[in-house]
Amino acid sequence: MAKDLNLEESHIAILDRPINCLFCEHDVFIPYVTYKNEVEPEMYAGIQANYTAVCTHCGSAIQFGEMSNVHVNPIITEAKLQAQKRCLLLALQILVQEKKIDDTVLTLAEEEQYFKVMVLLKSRTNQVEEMPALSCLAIALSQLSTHNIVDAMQVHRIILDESYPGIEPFLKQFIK
Amino acid sequence: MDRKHSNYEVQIIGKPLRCPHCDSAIFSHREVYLDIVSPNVDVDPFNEDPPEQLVLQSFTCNDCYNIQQFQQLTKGMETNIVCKQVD
Ligand SMILES: [Zn+2]
Ligand SMILES: [Zn+2]
Repeated sequence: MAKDLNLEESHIAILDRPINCLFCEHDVFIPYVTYKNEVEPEMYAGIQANYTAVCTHCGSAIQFGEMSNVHVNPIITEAKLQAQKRCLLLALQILVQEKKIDDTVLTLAEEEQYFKVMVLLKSRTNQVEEMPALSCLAIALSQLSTHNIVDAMQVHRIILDESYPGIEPFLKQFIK
Repeated sequence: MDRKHSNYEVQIIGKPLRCPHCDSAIFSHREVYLDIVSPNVDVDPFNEDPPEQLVLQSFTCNDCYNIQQFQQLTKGMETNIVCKQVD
């Protein structure tokens, strides 16, 4: 789920080297996972990429045929980061309330000790350096749905349609 | 069948487009449609919405056939891509 939270303006690196737009040299892109549309197959010679990054400044599209070396870092604004942190606290509060996790996790999250939060969440993920709050949120949300406390599909739709402002009231409903 | 395309000089955000390989400034144009893979697909197998598309303007260098592609971005009356037909 962490990946699905990332449909936004991003910096992109290939093999750890940041990419700049070949045309205008800006470095902010909207990443898309794409596949060839088959309507007019004869028009598609040479275009079979499954990953397309569009420069937000000039519109230039860069395509990659292989995604494993592509690293996307969403640009997090302060407002978005604060919303993520609030949502994480809500998600953890629900997990504590349902006795799925010890309540020390709440103190750790308030103190922003996200790596310790991660340990309590028993996550094996090791790619959390850049956005620990978001990674914790993604794990907490997926635990809420694996324990059938919240509906996974519903959370997913809210994330896609409204991003964080929408999850906040959704999670609040579950707080007793 | 071989399609005949018109040739264009192109400006992107006011800057002339050149081929990064051979420096030519004449391109043929076509529109390319890519289906965007929706993240819903994994979670919701019953999602029957048609896939969203990413529409790109594709410019092929007349001399060396290098391809450059741009999404049309519009801000009010302004657009990032301006084409002038040259034949
Ligand atoms: Zn650019
Ligand atoms: Zn060329």
